[in-house]
Amino acid sequence: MILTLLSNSLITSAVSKLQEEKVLGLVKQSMAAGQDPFVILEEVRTGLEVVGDIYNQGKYFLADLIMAAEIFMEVQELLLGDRKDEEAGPPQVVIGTVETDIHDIGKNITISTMRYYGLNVLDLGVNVPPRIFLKEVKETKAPILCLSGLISQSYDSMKKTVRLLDKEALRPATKVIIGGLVTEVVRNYTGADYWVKDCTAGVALCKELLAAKNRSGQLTGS
Amino acid sequence: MSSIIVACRTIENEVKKAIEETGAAHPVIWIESGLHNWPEKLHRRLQEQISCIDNVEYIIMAFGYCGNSLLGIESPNARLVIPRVDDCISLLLGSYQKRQQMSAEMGTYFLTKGWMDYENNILKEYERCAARYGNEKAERVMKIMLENYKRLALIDTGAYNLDDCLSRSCSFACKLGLRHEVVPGSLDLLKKLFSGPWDEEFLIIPLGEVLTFDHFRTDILISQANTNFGFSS
Repeated sequence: MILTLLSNSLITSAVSKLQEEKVLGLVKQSMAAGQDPFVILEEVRTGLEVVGDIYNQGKYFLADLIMAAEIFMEVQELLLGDRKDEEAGPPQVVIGTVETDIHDIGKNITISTMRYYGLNVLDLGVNVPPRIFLKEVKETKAPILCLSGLISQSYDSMKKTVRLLDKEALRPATKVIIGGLVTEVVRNYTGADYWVKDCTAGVALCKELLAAKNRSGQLTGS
Repeated sequence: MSSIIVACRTIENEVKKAIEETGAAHPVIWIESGLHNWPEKLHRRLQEQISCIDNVEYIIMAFGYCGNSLLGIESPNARLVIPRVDDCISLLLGSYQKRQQMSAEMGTYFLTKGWMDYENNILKEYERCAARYGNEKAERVMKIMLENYKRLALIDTGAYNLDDCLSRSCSFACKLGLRHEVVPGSLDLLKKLFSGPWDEEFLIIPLGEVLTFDHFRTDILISQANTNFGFSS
């Protein structure tokens, strides 16, 4: 027991220091000791939170976040193998970087985290026109649409997408979350239901919305 | 008319050249580079600086919208003059339209000497990553970062010696499989910012008025809708 706990804290520490090989070695050790994969993943996730804090202090940079995401995905692969790709049922979340924008690192990290928490996600990629978001939401009837954008021009694409959904009367059934470089002012401008600052908040909000939907049979208002 | 310029150190070469060419005699306060990655920090730093300035009529901001960094800025003692551009790339290309046009052609990562010297740019990131993680991992991470970029464009603003940057930017582009181009920049917008006239390409914010999202909205400023950076209805 003590050894397992020690190994777990070592995983968190190695993740926070972005020591890829060390993390993978420790994960393999824990697996061999019969530890629950989800407990191990939780240790990795705790390490990722530390990485996020260090980034916010300006001591890690974007490339370090990518390295952290790579480590996370490799651990996921080791622990869950093909299971991570098993997505039962239609997508609960449709996500994409909006038209005029090609930034997708934050979006990809978010998708990976969503899948880790068992959400079914349809990724439409980058520079996605409003009509494609509309088409996919219509076809899949996904209850959540996540629009990502990092540049100022992306706000207009978000706004156009939200308007299209409104026009087709898809809004009550589909909630729109915007993420990236956004604020409450941007949310108000685009007409989205919610805005989130980081992937953890985004995933937590999706889980909350889906849980509320399951309880009431429909999504709650913003 | 007394004015002071508040400028980002990253575009120091260009600001100095524009001042030289216009003969503008305004003093300059430099804001340190590297804050643009944290718009909230840049916002705080700018607000701190602006609040300290007194006894001038205008504070000329050599900044763009910079990822919401300017949102909520207010000046208690002087009017603010701000170019209506999204960020300093548009400022150095001469217009927001030029930047839009190039980005529409293909995903483009822009650099100038200022970015290479001062900011935590992609080249510095690569070198830092290679030192920390080794070459192989550094390349892997860079390829993820630049997955949707096809071109590395070095902006020739005429304010620095291209030869100082070319070999580094070319070799990086080659390593990452990006097309390398030198694109002409323009100091016209900066020169107009320093010497006027402040037409529809600029925002003039009165004393004590908070800079909001609406200042950049083109549906409110209909006559400017097709000429500048802004958000449309």
